Amino acid sequence: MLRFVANRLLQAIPVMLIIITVSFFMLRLAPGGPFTAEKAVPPEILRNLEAHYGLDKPLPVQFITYLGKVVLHGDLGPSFKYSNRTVNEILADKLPVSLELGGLALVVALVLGLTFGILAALKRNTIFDYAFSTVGMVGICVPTFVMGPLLVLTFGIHFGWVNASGWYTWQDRVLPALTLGFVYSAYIMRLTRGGMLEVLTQDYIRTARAKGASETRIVLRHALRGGLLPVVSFLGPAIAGILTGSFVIETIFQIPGLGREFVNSAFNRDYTLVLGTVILYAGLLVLLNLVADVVQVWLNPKLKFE
Amino acid sequence: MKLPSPLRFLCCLLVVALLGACAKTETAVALGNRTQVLHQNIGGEPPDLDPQLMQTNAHFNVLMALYEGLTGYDPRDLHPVPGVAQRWEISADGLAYTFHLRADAQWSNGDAVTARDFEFSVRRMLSPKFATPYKHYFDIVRGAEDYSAGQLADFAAVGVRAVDDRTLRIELRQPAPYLLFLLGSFAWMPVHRATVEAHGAYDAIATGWSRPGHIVTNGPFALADWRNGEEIVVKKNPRYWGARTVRLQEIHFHLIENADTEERAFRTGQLHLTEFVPATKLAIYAETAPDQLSVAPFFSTYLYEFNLARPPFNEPRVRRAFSLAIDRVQLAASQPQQHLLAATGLVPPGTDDYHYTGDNALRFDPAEARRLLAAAGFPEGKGFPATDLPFDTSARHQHFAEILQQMWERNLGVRVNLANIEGRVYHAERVQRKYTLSRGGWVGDYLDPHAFLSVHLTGGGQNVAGYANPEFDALVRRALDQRDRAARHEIYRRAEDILMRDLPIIPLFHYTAQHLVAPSVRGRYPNLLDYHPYQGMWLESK
Repeated sequence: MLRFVANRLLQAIPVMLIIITVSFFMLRLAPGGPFTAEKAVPPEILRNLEAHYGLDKPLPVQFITYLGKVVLHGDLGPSFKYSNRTVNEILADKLPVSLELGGLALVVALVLGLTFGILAALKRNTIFDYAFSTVGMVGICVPTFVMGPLLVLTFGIHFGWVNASGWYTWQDRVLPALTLGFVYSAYIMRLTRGGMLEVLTQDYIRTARAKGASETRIVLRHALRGGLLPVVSFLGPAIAGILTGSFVIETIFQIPGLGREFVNSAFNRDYTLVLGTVILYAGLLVLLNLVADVVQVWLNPKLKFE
Repeated sequence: MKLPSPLRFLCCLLVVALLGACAKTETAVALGNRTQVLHQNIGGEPPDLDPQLMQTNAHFNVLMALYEGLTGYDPRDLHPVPGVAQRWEISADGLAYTFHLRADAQWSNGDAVTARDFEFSVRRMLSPKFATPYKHYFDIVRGAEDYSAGQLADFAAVGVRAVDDRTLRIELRQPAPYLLFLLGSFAWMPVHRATVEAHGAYDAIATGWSRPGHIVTNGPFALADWRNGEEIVVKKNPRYWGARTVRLQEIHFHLIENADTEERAFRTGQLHLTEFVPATKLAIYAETAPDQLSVAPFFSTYLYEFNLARPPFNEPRVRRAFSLAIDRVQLAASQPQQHLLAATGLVPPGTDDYHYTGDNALRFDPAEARRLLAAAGFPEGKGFPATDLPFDTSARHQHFAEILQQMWERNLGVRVNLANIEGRVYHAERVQRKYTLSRGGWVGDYLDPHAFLSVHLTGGGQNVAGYANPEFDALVRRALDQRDRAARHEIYRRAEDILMRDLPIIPLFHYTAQHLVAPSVRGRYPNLLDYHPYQGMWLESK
């Protein structure tokens, strides 16, 4: 298993390099720059600014300098928009918020998704199953930018129980986590239901029943392990997405997370901040895909580390 | 079948968490009303709190709380009032100003605010190395342009000098009746020399001196906290010379970017003041809560620019035809809740009594427009080259562009193609004059017609059309020498007459500033530049 992990990590190096290179040049070839504004900046000032950030050097030189700093020192450079802050600082500031939101949403998604997925599979073709499946479809179909404001209108404005926006108290966490979690729970529910249905008809489940195992034990110990396989391969990349933030949720609820920085930095042509977020996101994706693979082997005796 | 017990437990937890959230508490606004804590949204994160690098109008709110220039503004009509300067004398020729600074002006760390601080700040601003887009705020100062261009080495030759700790002398290269106004604006606000120099070269940017924990300011409030992406908190500065009359204890500047999110926060009592009002909500507030909706004229003009270097708009008759074919009243009325004012000229009304209404005042005359276009060689629009109407992505710009497209097609027989372009791409290409026609706009930096007319001087940095008319230049420059207001306005009238005859740009309408304002906010008045000093503001619930 160690060899498998080491191998995959080695493969990740060229992947990351390609991602950084492509993003760097795509970004720099896009028209407009970090100092472009509706009110034109005088040319001599622009030259000063470009010299300050090293943008006056040839592009390949800039790329090598950047890559050197990132690889050797883990230094992602200064932000162009927030002149007083470095990209490392911004990521360190915003990532925990996104992790918290993502973690809570993940709990919501797993609790709702697994529970209802298992129940739907157990009560197959009954009113429960249809009800859960309908809710699941609604969850997949209703976009977060509709769901979020609807929840705010109901619980924030109508009942006055929670704030409409912000990230100050624990109450502020409830609606964003529900909104983001609900979408994912719908997917998880449908995947769990499908996986469970397939497993529940297997011989080893019948054997377990014949041996007199309790229904709880059959579901949790025997069926779930196999039934979760499709969920696990879905969760790998999904967790990366959930954890690194959601632009829409963060905008609707004014949450100071990474998703908003990611999208805004592209609009602002904040070169270093875009690259910093891309590197972080890509790294997380690579890592979580690896974790998903490891977990799958662990859950499925038919698979081996190769 | 029963639920497996761990799942049951988790479900219970979720329900409990939801119920727990259901405690109704006092809103931030209600609490703020009792404790004089103002909650205002400023629509996004300021890049920096260095006043000499400031970027947008909204962020100016934070600077007004943190800093104070030589002058300040009357909250009602924005006429300059004493700030750090207690009084001043102006020489008979209008070229030399002597400011007497108050003895009790202090920085937030207890240092005295002196004339030398102002001299240092100007030197920093004008240093050729200091990369800020606001040097033009100093153009009227003697020697300023040469010094910042590196053509003048000795700062002593620049017309800003501390005579002693409490006397500052400013000398201009030509009279500027709007100088006292400029002195209150962000670019002229002082920075604390010791703090700036402790963090790097005095004229370097991004040294970190203005970060929380380092920053030293001289305004009615001092920085207490900056939670990135959430809020900037300022607390009343007890060292401020006028602290006794400042009633607000704290201001929380929220950094909500999305107008709909902001409006929901206002409705749930999280905000006293919003930065925007969503277009879809204007009518609803106007009808159901007019006391909370503030829509006021804003010193700005929405316009389109021609590229004078390229056909077909190098031909004056074509430009005139395009302008005459626009029904500005209808255009402005297309968004009735915004109370836009159809333009008759470039300068928005409201600067004293100046408002251009001369022979070339913008009007709607489709017959004349068609006649001019035919005379220019395009009868009924035939043979008119394919023309793009580019605008930076925004529902609002698209709305007006579509109406213009229809008006030109109907009244001239010319079909222009709308081109919706991402903001940065648009602005980069617009400045490079890649377009034959482009959307633009202007907000005055100070309350004077000069703020608008000077943009179109030959070779001006913001003169995107590439307009050059020596007669116009001479009039705009001459107006500054004229100390009699009526005579000055007469010169502006003549200058604007030339501009509206040549039409390098076609002004369409003047914007309004729109905010939601909680009824408890007192001492805040709508004004042309949307500047709201906090010194006289307070909260009082009915």
